Amino acid sequence: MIPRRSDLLATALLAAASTGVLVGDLGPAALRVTAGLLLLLVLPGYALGRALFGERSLGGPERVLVSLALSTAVAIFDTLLVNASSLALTRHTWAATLGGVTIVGCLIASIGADVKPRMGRLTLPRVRDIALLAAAIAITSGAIALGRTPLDAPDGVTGYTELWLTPRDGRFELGVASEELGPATYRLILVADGRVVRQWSRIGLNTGGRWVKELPAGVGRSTGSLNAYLYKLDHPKTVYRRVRVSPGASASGP
Amino acid sequence: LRILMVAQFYRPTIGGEERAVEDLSMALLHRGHDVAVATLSQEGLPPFEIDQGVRIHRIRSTTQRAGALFSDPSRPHVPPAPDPEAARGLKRVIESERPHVIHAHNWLVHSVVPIKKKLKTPLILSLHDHSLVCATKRLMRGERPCSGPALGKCLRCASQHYGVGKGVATTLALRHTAGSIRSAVDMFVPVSEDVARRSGLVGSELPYTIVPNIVPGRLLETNGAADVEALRLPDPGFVLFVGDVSVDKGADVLVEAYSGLSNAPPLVLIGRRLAPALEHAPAGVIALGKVGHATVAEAWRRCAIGVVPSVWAEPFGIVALEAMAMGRPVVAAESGALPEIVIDGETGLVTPPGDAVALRSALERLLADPDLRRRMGAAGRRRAADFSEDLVVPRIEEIYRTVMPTELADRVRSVAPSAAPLIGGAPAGAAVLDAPAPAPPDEEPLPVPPGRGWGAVPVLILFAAIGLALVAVADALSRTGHTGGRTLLWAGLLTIVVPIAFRLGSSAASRGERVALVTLLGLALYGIKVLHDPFAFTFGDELIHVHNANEILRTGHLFGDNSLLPVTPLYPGLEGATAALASLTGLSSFGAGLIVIGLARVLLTLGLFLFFEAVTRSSRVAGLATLLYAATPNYVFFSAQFSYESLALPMLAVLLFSVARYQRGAIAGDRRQWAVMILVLIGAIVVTHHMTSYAMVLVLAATSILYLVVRGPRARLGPWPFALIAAAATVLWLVLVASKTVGYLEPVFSHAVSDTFHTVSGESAPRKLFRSNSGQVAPVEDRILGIVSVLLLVAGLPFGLRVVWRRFRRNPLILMLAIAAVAYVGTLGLRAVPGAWETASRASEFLFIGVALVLALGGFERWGIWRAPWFGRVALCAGAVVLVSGGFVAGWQSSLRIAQTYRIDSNGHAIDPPGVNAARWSGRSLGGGNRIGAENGDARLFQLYGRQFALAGTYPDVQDLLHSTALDPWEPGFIQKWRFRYLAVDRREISADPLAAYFFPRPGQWNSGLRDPDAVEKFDRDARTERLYDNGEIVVYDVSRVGR
Repeated sequence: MIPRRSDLLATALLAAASTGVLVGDLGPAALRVTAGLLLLLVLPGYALGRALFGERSLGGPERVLVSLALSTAVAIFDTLLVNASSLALTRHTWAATLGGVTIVGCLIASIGADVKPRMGRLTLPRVRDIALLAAAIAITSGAIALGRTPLDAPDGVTGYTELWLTPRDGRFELGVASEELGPATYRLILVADGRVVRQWSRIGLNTGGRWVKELPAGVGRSTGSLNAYLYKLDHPKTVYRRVRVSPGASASGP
Repeated sequence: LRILMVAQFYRPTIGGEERAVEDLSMALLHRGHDVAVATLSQEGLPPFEIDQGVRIHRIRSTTQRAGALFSDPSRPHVPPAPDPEAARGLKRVIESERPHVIHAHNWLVHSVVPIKKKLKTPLILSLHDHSLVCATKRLMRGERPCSGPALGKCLRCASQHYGVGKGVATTLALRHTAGSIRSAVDMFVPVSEDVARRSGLVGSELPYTIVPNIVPGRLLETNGAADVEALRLPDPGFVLFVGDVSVDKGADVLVEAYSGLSNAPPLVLIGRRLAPALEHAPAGVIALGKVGHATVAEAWRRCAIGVVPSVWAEPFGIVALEAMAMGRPVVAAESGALPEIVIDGETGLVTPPGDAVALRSALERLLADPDLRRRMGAAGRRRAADFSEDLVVPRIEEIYRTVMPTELADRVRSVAPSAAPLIGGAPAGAAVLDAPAPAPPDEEPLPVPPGRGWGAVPVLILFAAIGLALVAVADALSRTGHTGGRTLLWAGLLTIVVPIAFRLGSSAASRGERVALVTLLGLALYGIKVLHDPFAFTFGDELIHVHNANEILRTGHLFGDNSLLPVTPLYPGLEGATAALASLTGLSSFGAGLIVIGLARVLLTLGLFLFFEAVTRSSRVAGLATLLYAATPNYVFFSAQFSYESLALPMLAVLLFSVARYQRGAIAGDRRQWAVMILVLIGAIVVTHHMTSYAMVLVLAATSILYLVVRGPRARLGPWPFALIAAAATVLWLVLVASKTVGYLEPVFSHAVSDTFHTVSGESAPRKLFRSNSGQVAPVEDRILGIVSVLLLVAGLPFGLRVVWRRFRRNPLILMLAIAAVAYVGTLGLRAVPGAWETASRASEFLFIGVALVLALGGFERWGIWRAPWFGRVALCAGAVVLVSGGFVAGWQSSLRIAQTYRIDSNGHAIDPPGVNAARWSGRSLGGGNRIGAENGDARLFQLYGRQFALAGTYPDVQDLLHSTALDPWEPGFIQKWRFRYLAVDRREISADPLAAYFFPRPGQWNSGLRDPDAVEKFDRDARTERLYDNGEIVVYDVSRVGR
């Protein structure tokens, strides 16, 4: 019995192992990714497909299609059912339920008699084919790597700088973030009722750099508005960014 | 395909087994195969002749020379052992015929075994009886069923049956050769479950497939009782028995049961008298003896009830099927395969074998109830149709394909388009009229078997990889502002599509290769979309759906809020699966989403291929049709985006395949399994996408109606129960969960309808074609290609429709697809209607399934590629490539088909577009859940990256609020009414375009236009607003005090 149903045994063991890895958060990330992919996309559909159609009634492509479609459907229904219960959708609930479905599917499949024909044969690739596939994998990996690599900006595309002034817990957060294409130096002034109440004359930031100041609640409290003006030192006369709040109205924060 | 039948007797010797071999041979011949028969020689018959196209080789056997061994010297049965002379004769026949498959039918197979190993030709053995395990072939001990073989028992039994010498020799030979037969035969084909079980196949490691005998159309033919024998039949309404009048056949039990009937109609017995059962037959029993076929058919036509009371285990029970085919109820014994054929209470009544009382009771019940007889007769006729050659022979072909080397396997399918359709095929009689002329014999040289390789697949994978690399370079050039990207993009696309199209058009490609190629095509074209932006989702709909997935992960529950498209969380199939994958693997929603949509793409291509193959029985047509489906304008981008229809549509393709297999399950015996599959898919589709679920209901309903129209009483095979269930499930989900959908879709459809009327009547101007939402006009080459592809499509459809009419007009599923194809042409006109073009575009992904199949059928018909190999193939390939390219340009605006600048590098730091960082800032500094008004594109970013309750567009009218140049009097009240806390003002015009707003603008380019500064700065002029954030493009205002 075991040799004939060894695939079911292997499926059930894989499901149990994957569930264990995911529930226990075991092993490296690559192992958890593999376990998750197997448990969601492969094993439930395979087990249920075996339970439904037996060992031999489907050809190879049909078996793949049925397994993938059933796995997808199980993922959908499993999510709906867990949501309908008092449980939350978490890695633990998903792993446990999908593992359970797979093992139950394997049990049902192992009980049913196999009365259908074996279909299809797996043909191993030749050495030349393996070489071609390896080249294809290498080229595709290169294409993906190129696609994922951030490249230089085209001509005319500039970076930008973010300036914000946000009420927070009775105080203000004043911030500058540089997304410019190179290092930038700024001057930042804080103006209340036409008077400069604070000034930072040289803020140097590299690309991705951030400058944040927490302003006490007293800053500009008595005024109608508090304005922050940001200048780039290479254009010192031009306001580059500006923000404005009304402390009296918004000090309570968002 | 060249098939060699090996049978000890063949026409003109006629018995049940011989008739089955002849029927199968003729059916295969009519389906375009090349059929030869090797059989034992007979006196007065030539060693070789061609009978109705079948080449008959008659060979000598050594045992044949010992005529004294046989009770009937005209039927010199071969023993269950190799016969030297027969083996030599078979070797000669095989060498001259060079068959692709040898199909044996009885013990003559033992003479094939010694030469089989050298030839390596697949060997199939049909089991018409129990000869695999029983020396007498009957599995009976005297008058009782045998419990199974055992040496002592078999020796005694065979000795009684044949005489001691022959019995012992036969028994020992059968046991001795059992092992070699089991290892030599590649597939056993028992005619019933009972034979499979009694032969020890069930539960064994031996490969086997149950395939019943055929009920050929000629069984239904009578000559109106023109022959003399028919004149001896009594008036209609009698009880009929056909078969040897013997104890095995239960004739004595029948006579005993009949003698107890009162007011009984006559009992007619047709067949050889082999038992003394009739010595004391009561009045009313009419024994006609052996009569001709026409008289038997006429007798079935006139009788009221057919009786098959066999005591022995009938391996099949063709007599019961004959009665059912003529619409007569059957009383059958529960022995052998009879209960597999006669469904108790539905097509007749089943009684215990040898039980005269039960048999009498069943006869009384039927004789007393004409309505019951009529109902059971009608059900029997439908059941018998399941055994027509239309349905049975494809299973035999499937077996041939299974046992053959992969390279040859597709031969079976390559001739199949010339045959009558499997699904919804015509009844046997009509199939002859509908079927086209048989395809010519397979004369072209066989492809050189490429050893154990994968055919052209590895090379084409390499081509696809190179194509993707070209696309990646094209995208990189475009992102960095260099020229040449568009040319490279096209080069990449064609590098992927052309080789695959050319190979799919080839007759040399195996079925497995075609499966691999269409899957490769689907994934490679999906790769184009993935490479477009492999950092993050950048299509408008994707941003909406990935937000839903993130919310599921964040809250642990479904059905969260989506302010921009509230209906989407109510169909959580895609997002639920994606969230599950992300949670289990630790991948981001983006990574998990890419995998799920990639999986969906595999489901789509594989599902479509197998569906097309199931309905046309041709992997070649299926491959081309699946390729042509890639010409739907939505294929490369829209249907590959992370959006609910991208998962629902593939599941619909799988459902269509399941429906086709469900129909076929009537003969394959797996209908229930496919029914379960269909129900699962219905449920999954209903909870995944509204429009796809409506399309599913329409498809199932239309197919059911076509079944009724085309098939009449046989419409029970139609998918109407599934149509009802799908409709009920869709409505239930709509009412109980997703009632918002009505409010979402109703304006879309009503707008489409009213706008169509307005446009047709000339009240409103038609939409300008080849112009995107952002006003971009497609380049002239795109327009030319689009028009050419549409013209080619429209010109090609009539050829395909002609093929549908000639070959498949009795096939409801293909008819449904043909109607869809015609409807697609109708939707082309709607693309000129401003309010309807999007609906037409969405419908195209469903309707194009029909277009693809019809065009594929027309393409093969028109160019007949297996008759004019290179020209037809090149023309077909070129046509397919033009169509796919036309779909590519029609599906997505030209500037966005190639990647735009999304993430740029500066000294190792990646800079994302200003909209993305503004949204991230909002989440970080303002917290999530704030009501924020923004442009269409920005709003999606604020919802996704800032978790804001973002609103955009015309309802509420955020668009006017943001675009007016002064704070109009209505605006404060509007802000208050909709409780806006923040507004994001974007100075870029492109920010209103949900497809194009996410990229870095380029000065002087299509996406660089700026808004009126008065509109951009108007909130600065109101002291009640607070300007919290500024990144040069986007400013975020706190407007909570406006309107107070």
